[in-house]
Amino acid sequence: MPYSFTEIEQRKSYVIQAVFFAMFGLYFLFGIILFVGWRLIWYGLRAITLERILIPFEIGLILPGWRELLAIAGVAFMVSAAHWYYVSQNLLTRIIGALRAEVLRPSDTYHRTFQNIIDELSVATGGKTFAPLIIPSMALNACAASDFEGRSIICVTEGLLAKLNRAQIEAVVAHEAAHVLMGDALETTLTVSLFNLMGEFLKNFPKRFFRVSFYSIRAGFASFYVMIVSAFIYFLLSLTHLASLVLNMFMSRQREFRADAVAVRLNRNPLALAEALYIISNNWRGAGLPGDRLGALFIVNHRYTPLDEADAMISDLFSTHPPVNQRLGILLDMAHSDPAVLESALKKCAHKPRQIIKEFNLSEEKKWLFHREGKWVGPFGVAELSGIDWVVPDMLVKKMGGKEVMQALDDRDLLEALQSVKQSEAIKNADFHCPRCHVPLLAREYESTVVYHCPKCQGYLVEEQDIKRIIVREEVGFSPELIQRAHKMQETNKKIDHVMDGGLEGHLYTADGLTCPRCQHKKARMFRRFYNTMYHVVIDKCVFCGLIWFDKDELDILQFLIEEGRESYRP
Amino acid sequence: MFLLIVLLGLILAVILFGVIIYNNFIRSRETVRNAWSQIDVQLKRRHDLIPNLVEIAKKYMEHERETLESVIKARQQAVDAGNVKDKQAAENFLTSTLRSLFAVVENYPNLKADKQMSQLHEELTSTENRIAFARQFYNDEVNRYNIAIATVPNNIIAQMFHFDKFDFFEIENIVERQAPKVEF
Repeated sequence: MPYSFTEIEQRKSYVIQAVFFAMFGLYFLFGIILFVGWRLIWYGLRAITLERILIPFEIGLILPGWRELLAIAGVAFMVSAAHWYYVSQNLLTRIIGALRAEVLRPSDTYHRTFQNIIDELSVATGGKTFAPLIIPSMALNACAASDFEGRSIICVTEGLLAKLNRAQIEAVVAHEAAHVLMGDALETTLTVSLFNLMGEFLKNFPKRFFRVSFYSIRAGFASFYVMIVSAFIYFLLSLTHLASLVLNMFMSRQREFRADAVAVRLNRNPLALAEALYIISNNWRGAGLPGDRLGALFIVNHRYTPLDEADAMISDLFSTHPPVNQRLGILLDMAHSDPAVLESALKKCAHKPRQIIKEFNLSEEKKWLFHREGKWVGPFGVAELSGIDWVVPDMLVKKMGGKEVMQALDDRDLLEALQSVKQSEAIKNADFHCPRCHVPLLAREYESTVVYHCPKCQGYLVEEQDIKRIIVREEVGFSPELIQRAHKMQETNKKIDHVMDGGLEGHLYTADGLTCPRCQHKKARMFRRFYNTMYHVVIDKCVFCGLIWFDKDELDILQFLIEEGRESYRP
Repeated sequence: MFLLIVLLGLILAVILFGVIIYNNFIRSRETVRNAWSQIDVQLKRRHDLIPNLVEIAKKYMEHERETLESVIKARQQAVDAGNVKDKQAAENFLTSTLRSLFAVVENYPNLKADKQMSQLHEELTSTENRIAFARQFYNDEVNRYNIAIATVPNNIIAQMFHFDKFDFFEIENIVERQAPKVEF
């Protein structure tokens, strides 16, 4: 392993120069093609007479002479230098933007563990620092990137944090840290940024343009121009794809083997890395997500391609990842194990124990009287408690309707209520009110993320981006009654959806549209709709900020239906 | 005259060579020392976490006074330990008491479900890993350094300027290292 920085620096500059010249070559070639095309059209148009077309062109007229070649080379050099400069500024910012990566949340248990793992590997590498980031997706993958200033990031997906155990996550992060340590993260980042990033941005356009052109054909205007623009973008897309294929030649497939080896050197656990690789490659790795054209940065390519899995010359040249089976084989050799053992061990691995969450079923009847300054005050329920700050554990309390006087800390229900109130105070911006009952919502932890819970109607208010987290983390269990209700609800709502035939784009019109607790504007109505066309759970979603309201049990039902769909939950 | 110049050149080359080797030794030695201080940082982190752990565990496990007290005692020993040998022994002892504590925790589902406890457990796991990684890095660096000062011709310079070997920070428990006793 090249430990000394001079070694790493030397290697880096060598590969990076090669990449620059490859890019220059590409631009030069592109320039010649443009030149020839232009000449063809130029002379072609002039020569539209029958006899001229029949006579073959004089080649000398079309091909560039040495003076033109020099001019093309000059322009190509300038363009590639400008491109290079543009890309090397804000290298990481652009990558992070393309991946839609987010910073960690300190309140999230999974994120805290990830931060700890990053810090541990920082110790293992003798003090190199990595910035941890999260890709909020249910896919399983991880990537590393560095820039010229020596900063580096390590991104993992939410799915990876939820599906792998601690040792496996550590092995994956060690693999990414190894890329940074060996210096090839910078090469890969730069190479990927040159053309793949452009493709990444362009790939969203055709879809949009085709949709626009579809509507404009209906409306009967501008469709021709829109078609031309989308055709041009498709042309650019294929060009970037070609160029990135050429530049892929500079990324050795061997770097993944080396990174695996260095990762094992760092955390001395080849079995965990093998398990992680096996699980990642047998799950959804994020094909179709933002960033799936940047596959070279990731531990396993997003898409399954025969190119990656083949062990041949062509693959060595153009593929960025070696066959997963080979990587597994090497790692399992190190661990003195074999694929069959690994497979059976992972299959046997029991699902995490589930916990059925007990609701704070503190409805109207559960209220307390408090003995304060010689007087009994109250009654107060959970909703009111959030506005009170003078309740202390050794205070005398009386349950409404009961005679018994006791200390606050002896009443389990009250204690639970106070804890949830305290939790909501600890987290900022918890000053939402229930859109149905208008009582203050309580922030509480649900699948290690924060949701807002109404103690009165038992509904949940969830941020849009947290839905993925909640779905991918499988901590909550489901009672048999809930499962029954879920099946029933799915059946009835499917019929409603069938009648609507998707005509209203999934919106269910209601007279009592809820007002968004955050936007709180009269116009900020929440749209009632089904979660999607697969899972017919009714949700209310704010048009502006994306907050989603679930009525009682609907969040659990949605989770159950999705988990049943992907067969990760067996009652 | 020519011979003199050649001789002078040779002597200069040897001195230059010696200086380069010496500088490499210094660099290596400082890395090793830095790696050692990193272990200290992580050990201190562990010592700081243990009182919190005991505090939370006390609430739930009243019948396990002995286990908790042994953890506190082991921690105090580790904090007081002076030289490398003592430190190793004390830290290993602390690790084994912590292990027995966590074995006992398994019997207390309420304690395991406690949010603070699970957070602390994660922090302790992380700290244990950090200690292991810091030790691994230290040992790797010590290994590189020890090999560097012992090989020819480096050993001449090493002996001249008294570069001594560093000790490894070893993992094995003294109890674990003994051969297993067979009892009938």
